[in-house]
Amino acid sequence: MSADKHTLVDRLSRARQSGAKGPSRRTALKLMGATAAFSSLAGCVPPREEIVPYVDMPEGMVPGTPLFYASVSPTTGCGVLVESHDGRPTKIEGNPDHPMSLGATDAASQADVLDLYDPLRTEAVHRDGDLTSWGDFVASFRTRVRAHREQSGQGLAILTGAVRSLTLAGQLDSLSETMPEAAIYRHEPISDAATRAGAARSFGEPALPFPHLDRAEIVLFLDANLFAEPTTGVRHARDFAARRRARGGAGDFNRAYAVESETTTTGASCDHRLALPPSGIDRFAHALAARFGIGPEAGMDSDPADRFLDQVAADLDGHRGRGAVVAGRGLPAEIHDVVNRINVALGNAGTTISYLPPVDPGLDTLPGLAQLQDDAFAGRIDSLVILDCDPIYSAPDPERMRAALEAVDVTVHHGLYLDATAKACDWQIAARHFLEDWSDVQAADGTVAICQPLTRPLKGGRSVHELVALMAGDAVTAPHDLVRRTWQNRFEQEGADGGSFQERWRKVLHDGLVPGTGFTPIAPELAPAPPASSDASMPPKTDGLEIALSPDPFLWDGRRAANAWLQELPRPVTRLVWQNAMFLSPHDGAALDVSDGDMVRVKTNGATIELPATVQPGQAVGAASLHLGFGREIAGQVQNAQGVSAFSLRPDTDTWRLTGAKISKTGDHRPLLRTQHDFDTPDARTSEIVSLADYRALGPKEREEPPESLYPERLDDEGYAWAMVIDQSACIGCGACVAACQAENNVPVVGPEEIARNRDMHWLRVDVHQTPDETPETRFQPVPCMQCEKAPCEPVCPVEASVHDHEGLNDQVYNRCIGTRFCQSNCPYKVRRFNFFDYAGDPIQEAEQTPTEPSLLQALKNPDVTVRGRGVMEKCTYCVQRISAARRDAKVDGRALADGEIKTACQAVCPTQAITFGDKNDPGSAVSQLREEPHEYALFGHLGTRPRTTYLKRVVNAAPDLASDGHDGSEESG
Amino acid sequence: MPQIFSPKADGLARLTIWGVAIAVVVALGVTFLLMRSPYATAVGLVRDQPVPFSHKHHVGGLGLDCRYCHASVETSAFAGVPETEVCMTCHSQLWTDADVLEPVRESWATGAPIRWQRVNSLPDYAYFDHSVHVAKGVPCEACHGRVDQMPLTRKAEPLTMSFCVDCHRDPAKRLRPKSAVFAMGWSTKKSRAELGHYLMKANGIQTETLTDCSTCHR
Amino acid sequence: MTTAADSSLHAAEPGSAPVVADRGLSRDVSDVVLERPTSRAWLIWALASLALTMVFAYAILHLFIAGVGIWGVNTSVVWGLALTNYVWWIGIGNAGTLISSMLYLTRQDWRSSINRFAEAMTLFAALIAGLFPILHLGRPWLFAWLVPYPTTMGLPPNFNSPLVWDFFAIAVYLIVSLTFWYIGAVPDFATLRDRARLRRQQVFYGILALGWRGSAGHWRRYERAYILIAALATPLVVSVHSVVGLDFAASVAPGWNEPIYPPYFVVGAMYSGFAMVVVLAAIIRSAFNLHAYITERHFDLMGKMMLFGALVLGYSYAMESFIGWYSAEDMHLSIVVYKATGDYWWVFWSLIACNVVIPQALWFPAARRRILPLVVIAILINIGMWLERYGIIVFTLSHGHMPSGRADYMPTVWDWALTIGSLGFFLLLFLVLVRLVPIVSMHEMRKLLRGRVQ
Repeated sequence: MSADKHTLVDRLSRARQSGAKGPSRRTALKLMGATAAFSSLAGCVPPREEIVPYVDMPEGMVPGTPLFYASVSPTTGCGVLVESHDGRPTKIEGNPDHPMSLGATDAASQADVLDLYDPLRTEAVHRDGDLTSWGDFVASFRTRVRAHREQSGQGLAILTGAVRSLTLAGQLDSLSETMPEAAIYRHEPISDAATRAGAARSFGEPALPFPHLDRAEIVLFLDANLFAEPTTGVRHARDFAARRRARGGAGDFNRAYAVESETTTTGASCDHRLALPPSGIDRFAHALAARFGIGPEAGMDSDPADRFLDQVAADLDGHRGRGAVVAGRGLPAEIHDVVNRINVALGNAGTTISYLPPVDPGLDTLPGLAQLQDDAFAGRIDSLVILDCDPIYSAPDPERMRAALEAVDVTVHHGLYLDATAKACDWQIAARHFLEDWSDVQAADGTVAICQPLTRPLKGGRSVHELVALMAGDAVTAPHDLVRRTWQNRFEQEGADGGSFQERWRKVLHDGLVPGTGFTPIAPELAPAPPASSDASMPPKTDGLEIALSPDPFLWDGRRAANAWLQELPRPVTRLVWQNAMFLSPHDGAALDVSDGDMVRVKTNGATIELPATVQPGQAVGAASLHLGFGREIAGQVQNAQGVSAFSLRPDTDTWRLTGAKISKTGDHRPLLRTQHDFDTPDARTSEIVSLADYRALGPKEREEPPESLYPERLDDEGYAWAMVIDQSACIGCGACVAACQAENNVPVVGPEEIARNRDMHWLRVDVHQTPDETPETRFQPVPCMQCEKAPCEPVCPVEASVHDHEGLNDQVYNRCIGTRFCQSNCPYKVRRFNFFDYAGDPIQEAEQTPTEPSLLQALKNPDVTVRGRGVMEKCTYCVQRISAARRDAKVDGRALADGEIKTACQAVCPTQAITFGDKNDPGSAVSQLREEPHEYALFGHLGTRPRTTYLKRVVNAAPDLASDGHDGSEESG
Repeated sequence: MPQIFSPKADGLARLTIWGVAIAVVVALGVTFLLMRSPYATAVGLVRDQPVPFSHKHHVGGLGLDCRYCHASVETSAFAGVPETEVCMTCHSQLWTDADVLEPVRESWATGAPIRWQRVNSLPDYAYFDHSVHVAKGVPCEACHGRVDQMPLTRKAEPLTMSFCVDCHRDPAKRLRPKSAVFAMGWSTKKSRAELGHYLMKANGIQTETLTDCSTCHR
Repeated sequence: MTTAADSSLHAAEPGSAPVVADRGLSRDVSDVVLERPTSRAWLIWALASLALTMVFAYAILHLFIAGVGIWGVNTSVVWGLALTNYVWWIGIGNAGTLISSMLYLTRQDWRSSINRFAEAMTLFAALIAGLFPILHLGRPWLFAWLVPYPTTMGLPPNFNSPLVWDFFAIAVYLIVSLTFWYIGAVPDFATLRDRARLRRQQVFYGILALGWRGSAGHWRRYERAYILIAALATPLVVSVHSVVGLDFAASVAPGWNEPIYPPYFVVGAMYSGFAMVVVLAAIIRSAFNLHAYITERHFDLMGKMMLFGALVLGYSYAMESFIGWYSAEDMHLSIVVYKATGDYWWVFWSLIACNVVIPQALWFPAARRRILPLVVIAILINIGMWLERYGIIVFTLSHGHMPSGRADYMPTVWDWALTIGSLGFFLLLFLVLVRLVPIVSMHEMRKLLRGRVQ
C-alpha cells in the first residue's frame, strides 16, 4: 500500500496536482489564524516542489495530457472509457460503442472513481482483523482446498452475487467439474426472480423482457422504474427520449403511462401517471389483461383509475405491435406472466419487446441464502468462501446469517470493504476495484466488455479470478492470463476469421467490447399454462398500509453505501441526501398524523426499524415506500448514520411488498436532509410545459427583446459564443449530470451536518417542480450556471473575481475571490456555491476540523481544475477546462473548433442527451438551431440577465380524454 | 504658572507631524519596490539539484535542441523533464564513471526516479500550456532567459501575473518565427515592430481573448 | 423645527437654557476629567464592557481560524448578522457628525452641549461598523484588494461594485469625522492643560492642545477650519449611508432593487443615531450631573427629530409595499407578502411597531420632555432599526426568485457573540473617552452663555 501511495504522490507532483492550497498551507493557515492577514505580503522564496520524471516512460504516454482506456463497470455491465492523468484514473465516461451505454452512464457509475481511492477500503489480507499476507493465506488455504479436492469438494462452499464475468463463470464451472460435491450458492439482494419466473410461466424458460422504447409508440410502465436500472436504465432512457424530441414544430412522440406507488424518475417522465398501492397495481394488470380477453373480467374501484384504464387499453389496442407493457421487479411472478401474455396478445412481444436470457443462469439453478444457512447448521460446510457480497447486511435475518457463518469451520470473505460479513469471517481478503483488475463483464443484452486495470492495486487487493483459480487448483493464477485464456479459447472455437488472436485481442481491448457477443432473444411462444384463476389472482384488498420496497437508485443494494458522492447526490423527486425515509401520501400522512421528518416505527416479520417519514404528493394512497441500500456498516462505522437498512423487514430475498406491517409515530422529529425545501411552483415561470398539440401549433420563434441594460453592450458576435440548451422533454431527472459535474470539477462533499445547515456544493442541480394539486405533476429542471450575458454577479464583485470573458463565459476567478458572497446574494438563480469551510480538504468535512495529511483522495482530483479553498465562491464554468483544452489543441493545429468537439461533463454523461452545448455564433451549430425552437425559453428572462443557458419547454403528449387530470400543457403553456 | 513646554517643542511638533506623513509615503514606496525585487519574485533563484546539470554545457556547448530532453513541449502543457532513460542514451557511453552522474546511473539501475527541484513554478491556480505558446511563436527565452548561459538552472523572470499579462496584452514584441522559437539569443535585422505585427496576423493571435481570466485560471 | 429652536433659545424662557457662570461651567466639565476619582459605577461598567470586548475578540479569533462556516449563513442566505450589524453601526455612526456639522451650519446653537459626545459616538460606531465587512469576508486577510494600489497582479478593484465605494465612503467618513472632532476639541484641551495640576496631565493635554493660546488669530483660524470641515462633513453624512443603501439597491433581488433605498437608509441612519444620542445623553447627564448643560429642551428637540424620522420611515415602509404592488412584478409582490406573513413575520411587525407606531407617542410634549419614556422609546427605536436591517437581509435572501433556492436562516452563538461583543467594545471605548476628554464642548457652551447674558 505505502509503496503504491508513494508512486502516486510522486505522480501527483509531476502532474502538478492543482490545489489552490496544499494541506501544508491549510494547516499553516489554521495556526496563523488572524495573523494570516499578512501572509499575502510575505512572498520571498517559492515553496519547494519536486519534479519526478519517469525512469523509463511507458510508450504512448505524454506527460500532462490525459489518456482514455476502455473498460467496463462490473455492476452495470456498461462499457466505459476511463480518463487517466499520468496514471491516475480521474473520470469515467460512457463507451459510445457499447450498446448499453452509447456514450452515457448512470449517476452511480460516475462515482466509481471515488471508490477506487476510498480510504475506507480494506487492505491486503487480514486474519481475524489482523494484517497478514497473501502468502500466509495461500499457504494455509491451499492445503485446506487440497483436502476438499480429495473428497471431490465435499464441505467446500462458495457464495457469490450474480456472476456477470464469463471468465469467473467458466472458472466456477471447471471448479464444480473437478469438485462435483462443492456447493455454490447465489445471493443477489436486488433480484429479478419474479420477472424471470413470470417469463418461465409464459414461455417455459426464464428470461428478462427488454422493451425497445424507441420502437414503442404507447408505453405502459407497471411499477417499473426502468430508468433507474443499473444494467439497462441508460439504454432505456436513451430509447425513450428518442421518441420525445420536439424539433422544428414537429416530433413523433410516444405516449407514456405509468402506474406506480412512489413517484419515480420513470413515472414522472410519462405523460400520464396513476398512483396506486401495490395491490391496486395488480388489479390494474388483471383488469387490463381482461380487456384483451386474458383472465376473468375485472375493473378498477375508482373512477379516475377506470378512466385511466380505458384510455390505456384503447391506446394499446390502437397500436398493436407498436406498444409495450413493462412490469417492474416488484410485481409477483403471476403478474409478470399476465403482462407477458398481454404483450403477446397485442403482438408487442418480439417486435417492441424482446425476451433475453438472464446473464447469470445460476440465479435460477443454484441454491440461495436459505439453503446455505440450512447446510451450514447441518454441518455440511467446512470452508465457505464469500465472493463480494455482504449477506449479514442484506439477509432477511442477519442474526441467523451470522450464526450460520459461525457454524462454518473456516470462512473467507473477499470484498472491497471490511463490512459486517467480513468481520464475521476468519479471513478478510481485499478485492480489487475494477479499475485495478482484469475481468470480462457481460451486459444485460449479452455484450461482453473487457475490464482492464488502469493502476496497480492501491490497497494490495487480489483479483477474484486469482482466488477462484487457487481453489480450483488452476495452474494459471494471473488475472490477465485467465481472462486472456478465456477469449483465446472462445475465439479459437469461433474460427480464425478476424485475424490472429493478438490482433483481435488488441482490438477488443481498444474498442472495449467483444463484437458479436449479444444475446439472441428467445422466441416468445406462450406456454399453454393459463393464468391463475380469478379468485387467486385478485388480491384481497388489504387493510392498513402496504409497504413497497425498492432499491435506492444510487446505493442500489448497499454496495455503494460507502460512496460519499452518491450519499450526497440528491435523490430524484425527493432531493433527499444521506438518508432514506418512508414516503407517505398526504392522505396517509394525515391519517398517521405525521409530517415531514416525524419518526415512524415499522414493525413486521419480527423486525423493527425507525426512520423519518416524508409526505410526498403523488405517493399512492395506501402505500408506504421505502428504499433499500442504506444503513450498511462498513469499516466499523454505519454509513450515513441518518439512513436505515430495511432488508431485515423482508421475509426472504425476493419479497418487495409487505402487508400488515405496524406503522406508528414515535414522537421524535428529525429534520429531513434535503437540498430543496420548496417544491410548489405556483408561477409557471420556473418550469413551463406545453402540450404536443399546442407545440405543433406554435409558429416560428419570435424573440421578445430583453429589457434594456444600463451596462455597455458587449460585441459577442465574433469569435465563439458558448451557449447551452437543456431539453426538459428529455430530462428524466436521473442526476447523472450532477454526479458527472462533481467528478469532473473536483466538487467537494460537505456531509450531513452541513446539509442540515442548508449548505451544499453541487454546481449543477436538478430542481424538482411539482404542481400543487391532488395528482401533482413532477417536472425536472437541471440548473447549471446560466452564464448570463448581463450577469448580476459581475458588477457587484469588488475585486473582479467574477468577470465576463469574450466568449460569453462568466468566469469565477477563485484565487482572486475574497468571499464577499455579494455575487450569490445577487444571483437570481442561486447557482453559486461557497466554501464555508475547507470542504475540499476531506471527502466528508467535519465542521471546524481539517485533515493534516494528504490523503489518497488527492489523487482523484482533476488536475485541470483548481481545488477551491476555504472562503472562496465557486460555480459552474461550462467545463471551461474542456473548452480551453480543445481551443488550445485547435490553435496548435491552426484550425477552428468544430461543432460538438467540446462536450461538457453533464452533456457527455446525459443518458437522454437532454443537454446541448456549443457556439451560438455558428448558425449551423446544434445549439443555435435549438435556440431558434419556438418552445425555447430563458429562465427569468424578464430580469434582463440574458442567460446563455436556455431551456426547451417540456412537451407533453397528453391523451385527450385524460387531459383534465395530471399533465395538460394547455393551461400552463400560455 | 510655569511653562510646560520649552520653545523647542513647537518645532518638534511640526517635525513629528511632517515626519509621520513622510514616513508613510516612504514605507509605501519601499513595499512597492520590494514586491518587484528579486527578494519577492525569486528571480535568479538556483536550487541544489541531485545532479548539477548544466544547460550552459549541453545547450551552449554541445548545442542540444531543447526538444531533445523536453520532448513534450510542442504537444503538451507540460514541457516534460527527461526521464532517466534519456540521460542514459548518452551517458551510458560518455562520462560513464563521472561521480556527478552517479545519481543518474543509480536511478537507471534501481528504477528509482531522480527527484529534481522545481525552479520555475507557477501557482497551482494558474494554468500554463507550453505547446500553444511554442506553436504561436513565443520563444523559450521569453520566460526562461538565456539557459544556454546557465551553468545551473536559474529563475530568469519574475513570472508574476503582471509579467504574464504584459505579454498577453501585447505579444508582438516577443514573437519569433517558428524556426527561431527554440533558438537562444536570436535577433533579427528586420524591424521588430513589423515582424511582430506580421506574426500576430500569421499566427492568428487575438489579444482580447488572451486577457480573459479563463485563459489562465480555471 | 429650526425656528422653534431659535426662538426658544433667544427668548430664554425660564428653566430652558442653562444659567451658570463660565467658571462654574469649566469646573463642572473639566473636573470630570481632571479631578473626580474613578467612581465605583464607572469601574463596574468598564469591567462589564471589557468582558464583552473579550468575547468580541475571541469570536473574531475563532472566526479567522475556523471560517465563516461557524455562522448561520447558508447557500441561499449568504449574508447574516455580520452585515446586519454593519449597517446598524454605520447608522448609529451617522448622527454624531450630522448633529455637529449640519446643525452647526444651520446655526442650531443648542447642539453645543451634545455635539462632543455625539461625535465621539460617531467615531466609535463607524470604527466598529468598518470592522464587520472585513470580518464577513470568506478570506478576510485579503481585504486589501479592495484598495486600488499597484499590485504585481496589475489588477485594480472593480469600481462598479458598491462594496468598493463602501470602503471609500467609510474610510473618508472616519478620517473627516476624526479631524472634525479633534479640531472642535482643541480649545478644550487647552482649558484642561491650564486647569491641570498634575505634570503628566499638563503634558498630555498640552500636546493635544497643539499650543492653543486662544488668541484672536487662533480663534479666527479655528472658526474657518471648523466651518470648512463642517461643510465637508455634511455631504459625507449623506453619502456614506446612501452607498450602504446602494449595496442593496444595485441588485436584482426582489425587495432590494428599489430606488428609494439611499434616502431611506440616510433617514434611517439619522433616526437610529439620534435615538442612540438620546440614550447616551441621558446616561452622561445623570452620571456626571450635567443637568444644567443637557436640559429637557435638548431632549425635547431630539424627540422632535426622532418623530420626524419615524414619519419618514413610516412613509418609506408604505412606499416599499406600494411599489411592490404597483410594479406588478410578481416576485416583488410575493416578497412584500412574505415579509408580513412569511417565516419572519414577527421581525416585520416588531420593526413596524418599534420604528413607526410607538414613536408616535413623541407627538406629546410630555413624552419628549420626560427622560424615562424618551429613553425607553429611543432604545426601542434602536432595536427596531436593528431588526429592520436584519429583515432587509433575511427577507430577500431566504425568499429569492428560485423556489428551489428558498431556505431559512438561523444565527448561531458565534453570530450573537459578535453582535453583543461589538456593543461591549463600543461601551468600553466610550467609558474610556469620558475619563480623558471633556464630554461637553466647554468653549462652545461659553459662547452660548455669553450670547445670552448680554
